[in-house]
Amino acid sequence: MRRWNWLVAALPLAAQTPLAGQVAAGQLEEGARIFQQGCAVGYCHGAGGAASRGPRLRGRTFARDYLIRTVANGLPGTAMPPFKGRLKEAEIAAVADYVMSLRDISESAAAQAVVASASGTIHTAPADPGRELFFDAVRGTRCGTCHALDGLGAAIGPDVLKPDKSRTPKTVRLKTGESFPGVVLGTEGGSTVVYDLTGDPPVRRSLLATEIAAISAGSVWKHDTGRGRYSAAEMRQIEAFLTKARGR
Amino acid sequence: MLLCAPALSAQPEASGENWLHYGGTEKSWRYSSLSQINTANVKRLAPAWMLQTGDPDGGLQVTPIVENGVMYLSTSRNRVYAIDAKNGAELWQYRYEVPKDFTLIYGPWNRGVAIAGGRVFMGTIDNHVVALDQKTGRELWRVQIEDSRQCGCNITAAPLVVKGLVVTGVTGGDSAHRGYVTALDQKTGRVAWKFWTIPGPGEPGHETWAGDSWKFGGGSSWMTGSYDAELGLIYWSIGNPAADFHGASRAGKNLYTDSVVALEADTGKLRWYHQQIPHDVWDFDTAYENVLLDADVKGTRRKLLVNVNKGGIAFVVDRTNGKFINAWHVVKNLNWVKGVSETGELVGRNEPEVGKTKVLCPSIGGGRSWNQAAYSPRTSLFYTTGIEWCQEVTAQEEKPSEGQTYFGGTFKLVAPPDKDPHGHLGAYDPVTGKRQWTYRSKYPLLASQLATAGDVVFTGDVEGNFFALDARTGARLWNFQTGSGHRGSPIAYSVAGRMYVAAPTGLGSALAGLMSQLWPETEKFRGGSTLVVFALPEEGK
Ligand code: HEC
Repeated sequence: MRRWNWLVAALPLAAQTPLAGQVAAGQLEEGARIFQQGCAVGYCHGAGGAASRGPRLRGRTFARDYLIRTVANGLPGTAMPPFKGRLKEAEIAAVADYVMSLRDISESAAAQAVVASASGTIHTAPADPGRELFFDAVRGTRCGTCHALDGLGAAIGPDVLKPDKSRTPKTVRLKTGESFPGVVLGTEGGSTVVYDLTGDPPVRRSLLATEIAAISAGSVWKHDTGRGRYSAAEMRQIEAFLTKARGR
Repeated sequence: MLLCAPALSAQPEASGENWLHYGGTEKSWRYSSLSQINTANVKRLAPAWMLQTGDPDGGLQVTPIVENGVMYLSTSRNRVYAIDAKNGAELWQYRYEVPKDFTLIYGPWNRGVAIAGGRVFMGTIDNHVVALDQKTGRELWRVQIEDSRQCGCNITAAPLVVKGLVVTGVTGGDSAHRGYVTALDQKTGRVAWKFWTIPGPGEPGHETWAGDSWKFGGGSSWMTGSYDAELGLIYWSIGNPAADFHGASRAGKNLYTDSVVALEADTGKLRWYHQQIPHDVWDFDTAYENVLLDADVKGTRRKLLVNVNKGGIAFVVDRTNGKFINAWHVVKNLNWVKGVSETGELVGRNEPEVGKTKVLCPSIGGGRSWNQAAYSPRTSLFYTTGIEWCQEVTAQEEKPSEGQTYFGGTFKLVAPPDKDPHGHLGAYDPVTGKRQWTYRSKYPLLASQLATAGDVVFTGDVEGNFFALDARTGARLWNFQTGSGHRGSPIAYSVAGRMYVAAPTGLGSALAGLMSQLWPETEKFRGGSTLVVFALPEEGK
């Protein structure tokens, strides 16, 4: 597999590249490769921008800065994801130039580009083993099930980067006799909203005042229910990651 | 007496006054025992009321649920409406808070809710399940099954309610992700069991995945399952392995992708599985509905399960033990295998190759889409669509990146060798696949079928026509132009003795976009999201 992304890094930055039409052939080739790996796939924009669930890009005219912005930031509320972070600035510029070049591309040229670019990979940030464990999808429950960090995970438990006692579980008793450990979030539209920590993942329950018998301090819940799934060595890696994150 | 055939309405597999489950009943026949509307009078059918949801993104893909004169309907972006089913008056509505930064390839659409025990359940765009009070629409509980930003997955299918549980699948089969089926307690939302569709280390079947490929192997469970109460078994269809077109890194059979699994309802324990496509490299999910019917096989009555897969092949198995009975084709243009042996093995695989473009049929859009088949016990026929189209596939190596798309190739739709791309609806013997009649359509048919005791089959096309066919001959008896294409599932129900047929209209979805590669004019087909409800005109009005 060719690691072409390192090559791209050596190219001039987006802002310095010439306008489409004068774009260096190498730049377009890189753009085509990125498009093939990240944009043409599956139900997205189709090979050569021929349309799929995502709109057709071939045979259309776009402003270059609009393309760069859209690729970088995505279109919130749609299927178009942001590529900032997954692609370097120069790579985003290259793919924008490639999309601009599809304005008057012929079918056969588009098909050729598909075969030519059938290798390579979209690069991803190097992973921190502690972070991977924190969000480890292979375990049904992981730290990220209850803690939000870097825009991932659920904010059921507290912020893990600073002292935070706002999420200390209490005991919630219902008039039905049911009782469970819960993180109380507050009231919303006349209901008390509570995360029920009985099972994993915790359940966000909306309770009417008429349903609640009492909410009292302290609970039977132990943080071990989350931590117990990791070995001591794994916990050390997670803690090293958190220490580093706190220092950021 | 308006409702004929009371004997049939007692049949547990048939829907009557109510339409209680996604597939009509837990056995997924999409068959109504109502016969007030029949082949003799269907031409007098007229709109009774309509509901414009105002949320056309992705079209209206729902199967409405009806209980005691109230209809429950979900739309794109997880809005739920409770409606008076005789006049369309809104009783309550619920709007799910969709995260602002939400982006995901498995669209914003929703295919329906489930009801049980005074609650309405729905899976969400960002992979939660919510429970609402059936009377008021007030949210009772909500649980995040997994962070959709991490798994690249969400829930678009209707849940299945079984024995105090709400069971849901998940999308994500084209992402670097490991799939599962989850059962929650209806009252509390707590997880009752979870079935991983890819076995983990130490579990049987794990050896069918090379290296770490099991962690990113897909195996989504993106449609709704069926249930046989007598056997206590839930049947779920598991989708394709990822990367879709490139299998080198996941050498092995890749269990339980492309399989029907039978799970014990109480525990989620695997009772049996039947894998249709070992080591799939075509994205030909075994994802669709499981129709549970009983029929004679070589003179003996058998409990069967019929499942049409995305590759265009219908597999018939014994639903008590998963034993293969027969396989038959729903499309003519099928070259990814030569066929299926008498024991159920694929023969003559024709696989995509890296750096080489191959024409494979049907296309990734499927020999059929997820829109569901219907089965009528009156005609003993199985009504399913088929699409004649092919694709040029080029496989490529891709590196899995958690939750990101992981296709392993690209494709472009092309016409089949006979230059006649089109869609069709056929009436088949469910066991032998012998075709009784075919209804031809210019474009793929993307709506589900509804069969009724009036011997009418209802469905819609992408041009906006909602129409009725004679269940025995396929003759078109009636047609109504609804203004936008059909991508949802029509149902029948009755209130106070009057029978209604409800048709969700509004084109959208991945396939509707894909179609334009072959039929460029469809790019301009109007979207929408309106439920149109038909009935016979009332006498003397
Ligand atoms: C089932 C939910 C859940 C899981 C899983 C979970 N936690 Fe927690 N966590 C909580 C709750 C609730 C608290 C608050 C406890 C309290 O205040 O008494 C907490 C507290 C913490 C705190 C203290 C934060 C502070 O500011 O005081 C840290 C650190 C922490 N968790 C880290 C982790 C790590 C690391 C993992 C994974 C190994 C993890 N948690 C898994 C729910 C969870």
